[in-house]
Amino acid sequence: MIRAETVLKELRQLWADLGKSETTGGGVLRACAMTLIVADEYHADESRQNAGEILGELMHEHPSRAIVIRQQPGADLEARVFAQCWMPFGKRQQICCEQIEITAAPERMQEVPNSVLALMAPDLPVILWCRGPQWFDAVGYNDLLALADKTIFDSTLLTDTARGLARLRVLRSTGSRVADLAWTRLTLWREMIAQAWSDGSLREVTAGEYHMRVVHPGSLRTAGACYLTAWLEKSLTSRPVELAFEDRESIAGICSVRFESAHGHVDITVNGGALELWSKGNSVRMPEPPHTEYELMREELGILDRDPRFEEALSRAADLAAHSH
Amino acid sequence: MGTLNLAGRMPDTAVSRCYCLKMSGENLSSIAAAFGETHDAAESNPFQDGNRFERRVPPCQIVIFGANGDLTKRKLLPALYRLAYERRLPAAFSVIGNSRTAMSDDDFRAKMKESVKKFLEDSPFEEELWTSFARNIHYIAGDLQDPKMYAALKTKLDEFDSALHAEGNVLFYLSTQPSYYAPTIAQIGAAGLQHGPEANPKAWRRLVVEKPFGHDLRSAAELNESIHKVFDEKEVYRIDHYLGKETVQNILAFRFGNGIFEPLWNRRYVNNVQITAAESIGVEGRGAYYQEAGTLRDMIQNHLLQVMATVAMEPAAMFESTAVRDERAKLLRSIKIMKPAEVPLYAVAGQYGKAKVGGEEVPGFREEEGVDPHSQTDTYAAAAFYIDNWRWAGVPFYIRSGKRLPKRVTDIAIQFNNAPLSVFGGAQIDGGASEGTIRPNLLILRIQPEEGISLRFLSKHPGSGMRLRSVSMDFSYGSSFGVRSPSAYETLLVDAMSGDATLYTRQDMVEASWRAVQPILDDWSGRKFDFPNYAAGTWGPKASDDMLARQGHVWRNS
Repeated sequence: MIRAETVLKELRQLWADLGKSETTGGGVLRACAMTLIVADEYHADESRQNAGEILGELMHEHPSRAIVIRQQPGADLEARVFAQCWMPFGKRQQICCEQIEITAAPERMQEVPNSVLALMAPDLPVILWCRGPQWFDAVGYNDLLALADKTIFDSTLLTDTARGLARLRVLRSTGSRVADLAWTRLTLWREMIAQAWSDGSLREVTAGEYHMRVVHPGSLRTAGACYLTAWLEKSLTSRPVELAFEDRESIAGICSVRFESAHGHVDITVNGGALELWSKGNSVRMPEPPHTEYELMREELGILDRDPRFEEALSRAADLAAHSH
Repeated sequence: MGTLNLAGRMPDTAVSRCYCLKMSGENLSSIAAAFGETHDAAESNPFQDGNRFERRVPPCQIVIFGANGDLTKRKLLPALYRLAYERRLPAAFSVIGNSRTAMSDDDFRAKMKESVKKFLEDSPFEEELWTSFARNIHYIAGDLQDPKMYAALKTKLDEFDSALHAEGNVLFYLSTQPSYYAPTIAQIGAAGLQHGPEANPKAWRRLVVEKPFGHDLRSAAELNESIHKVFDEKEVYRIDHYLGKETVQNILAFRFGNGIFEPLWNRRYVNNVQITAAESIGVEGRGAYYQEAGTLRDMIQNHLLQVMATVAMEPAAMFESTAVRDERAKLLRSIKIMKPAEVPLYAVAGQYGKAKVGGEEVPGFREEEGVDPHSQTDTYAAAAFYIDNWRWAGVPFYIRSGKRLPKRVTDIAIQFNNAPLSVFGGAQIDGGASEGTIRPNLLILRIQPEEGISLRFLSKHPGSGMRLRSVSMDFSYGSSFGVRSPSAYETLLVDAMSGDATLYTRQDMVEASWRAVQPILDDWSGRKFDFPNYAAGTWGPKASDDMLARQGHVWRNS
């Protein structure tokens, strides 16, 4: 059983205790800019970083009241509170964020959203980070979605990309703000393309008739390839893009992008764990950024308003994924 | 052609993320350009995503005149290093320092390394990153008035430009003694350095000018004239580092991003505005310089009038360099110019005398090293400015600044009018200046050191009866945004290299602010003050309190 009053009282006590136990003389600062609800994965995957550790890193830039929800067969519905603290470089003051961890048996998940509603930090944005694919079908999931101003998914966790993107599109069509970490992973690709445009090389190639090609690994279209293709089409006024596949190394689900015309070509390819931009015989190389969940979430939490470029791409990407079958 | 590496690290608050640019091929110019986005290109780039892509600095070289000076050591190089740390600098980037001291490139690098280590704030120093960054730091010894030095500079610029493919872009940074500004600019012009290579018509040349920009209205106008003989106004970036502070920029966000404050932001609701910039330290070895400048010139004419303009300006139609600067300039031009007879009523000069502060003997200004024992320099200045426009007519803007005040603090306090009628009765209100007086609502924008915003209002004291007490509602930058804010110089250097002059002052702004303080300077230059008139560690001379008292106000305790 979770009594919101009791949990909130425990939080107050936690802060009082932190203040008393503080020994550096610099004090403890309570930091909170949002409520971050983490719908954590059902079964702990040991290869993935623990949500608590990620939250500990995220709080440096995005301090929040984190509410982590875990489903655990046979568990009682209960909550516990604790704080994560850090000390900025060169400062004496500790900055702390509060974390509430809720566990419940799957069949009791429908009781969770009401508890979460009472525990959210008032008047601040609410972000739901849906960390496991199983949540799509979980009891009470839709009620959790309704609490959030923005919901963050990772469609690469789904075996069925088409279904995942279709669901995101439906959710978006209801007015919800959604994000997909599969899109976040494309930032470096997109940035290199934007730079090739600024540089002039891409403008030159796309000045007349030209051809664009996105290559993804494996025969099934990846979420990344669908998003990038959709974004290219939207950015260049609905020009068609050829989607192809090769059995090659990829970053974010893409092996290469090529722009080609009579004026020449611009290629961006994956080579040795880095992206290489080739134009007129010259290259720029950028290593693959560490696409950890922390890095991806850090970027996504920086965008609490609508993300028009993603939203533009989502609808078309869902179509492209559907045609993969 | 070899390989260029530029390694950078994410802030220490984040897990390290290193991007290395490895370049190869015969012609690197287009590659370097790929990482330098000009404004024009960014605006028309269909792939641009402002939510996610950081603004990148175009390939360029920075020439720092006065590179052996304090500013370079304390601010410029640490800021550039930090930008490298955050991978904000382009691969095609170099720094060329100049001063008269004979030094090799390596000597200069070693000196700068020590400075960066010493003055780098909130950041760790990384040896590997420094090695990569320092590779493109160079030095030219030479006299600023010697044409040969500029010929050598041109050779070096061309040499590095062709090696790095910096596209002919050069930022000249004047960090010398102010008396060298005009001769240096003239020499830049004589050497033809103000123009980029003919082969590259898009190349830009810009000039950053440090404060002080003139020492009075006339000298500022003369300096502008000297500059315009060589550079167009749009190529000139007059730096006022206060405008680069995150918290000063936040004033605009606070005013124009929120709907609730702007309707109150006028003469109908605001009683007075107090801007305080206090320092607890003395002149710290800068006695000789400070003696010539004084607080009115050093702080009020530039920084604090710019802050005042930011607080009081009208909203710009868009957040764009010309529009924002137009509004700031308009506000500065609206400052009511004091008549000579008004100066003693609306401006106060002070100078600190020796005192015991925190158990320690502190010398008076006249006892400081390099200071004339009969100095008439103001180490404290306060003034009441009025703005002649519909929004602010009749509202005093009190500005004070000084050395050896009780603490280091910069803030802006907007004091609102009292409630028209107190239904609770004066005797039930605690915490007034005297028992029974109502403490007005205050909105405090804290610039430093505890950056944030506070709102003071009355609240019921717990218990029986209706006793009211002033309470404060605080927003602290530190608690809402755990990340480190960029230093003012980081912000301003990136802006100048990217061609964004929003946070730089323009000729008309500088001249308007000189015009506002000129009557005070004229009056003070003809008077003999009975200095010292305040003890170190206090809030300034009594005359300053009297100035406000005459208008029914008191300085708040910052």
